[in-house]
Amino acid sequence: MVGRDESHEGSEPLHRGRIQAQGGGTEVSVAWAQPAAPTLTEMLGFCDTLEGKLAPAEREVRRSDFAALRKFLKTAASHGGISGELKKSFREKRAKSIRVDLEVRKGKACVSEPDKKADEGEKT
Amino acid sequence: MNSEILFPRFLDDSNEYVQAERLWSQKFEEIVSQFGERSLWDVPWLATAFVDGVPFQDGNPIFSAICWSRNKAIRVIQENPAAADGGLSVWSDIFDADGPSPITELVISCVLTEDALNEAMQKIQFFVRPRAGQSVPHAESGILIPLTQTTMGRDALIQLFATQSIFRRPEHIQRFSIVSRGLPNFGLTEQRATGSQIQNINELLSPRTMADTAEWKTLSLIGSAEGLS
Repeated sequence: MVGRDESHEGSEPLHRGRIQAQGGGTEVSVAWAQPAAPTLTEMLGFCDTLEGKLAPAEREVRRSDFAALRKFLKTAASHGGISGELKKSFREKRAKSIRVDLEVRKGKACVSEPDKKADEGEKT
Repeated sequence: MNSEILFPRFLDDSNEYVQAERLWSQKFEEIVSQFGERSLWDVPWLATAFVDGVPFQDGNPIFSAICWSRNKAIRVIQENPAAADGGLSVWSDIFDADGPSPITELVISCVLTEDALNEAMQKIQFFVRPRAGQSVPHAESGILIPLTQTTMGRDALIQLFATQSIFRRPEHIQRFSIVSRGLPNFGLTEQRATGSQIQNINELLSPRTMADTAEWKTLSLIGSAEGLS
């Protein structure tokens, strides 16, 4: 099996991912790349930021997608978070490919505040 | 037409969920095994559980697979029959678009019926089939060139291989092998040569080393890293 070569990734942030609004001509995203895993609060903030970057019509058509994403993130936080590689598409209206995607490329996300402090402590 | 919903309670019944997962995996393995490429694919690819080990069990995704050597992946979302319209949706996407090796994804979303499964597998088969001349990095610092046409004459092979960059530096080819099938009494056979025997592509594919009528399955070239690009 030939796997991904990660030997060059030593200097890259340990936790990377993005939330993206896609389909119907829209392609807007908010990404994170940081040494500590983002908490639930940060992840919900990314959702807010992404919604804020969309035009009213783009936001409206994805209202239920964002709601489903936020619900998933809250559930994830109660289970210790999520880890990469992970990708989920939230497409509640099944309208063509209009959706919001969650992508965790590396590391974790949706950790609790104590977990994040422990994570940061390990690196110091 | 068979639009009867398979495993309709998969979101509430963990046994049905496991059966649905197995069905998608089994069908996928049948396809890649046809091409002799099962070992190129990692299944599953994406996480389907939270950090504490509790599975999502939401069908999103129900199946995923990745071929690292070709930067291609498949993700299947099995929709809730109660909430979906029953159609099959297909789109392409890029995973890690800003990273060093973006992955092209085929995404399929559907309610699981016999018809949807068949349609999904047709899409997957088209997506995963090896393209003629598409080289695949090999674990031994070489490349593999799968052939989709199982019967190719020498001239067609020369044209195909001439597109491979390694032939511009034949001196770096340490050895090559052509795996063929269809030869009487031999099944799969290999022909080999060493770098010193290979002067140019015509020598490599000379009638002495190949029969025009053989069915060639795979050409593999093992060369030094310097000679491979």
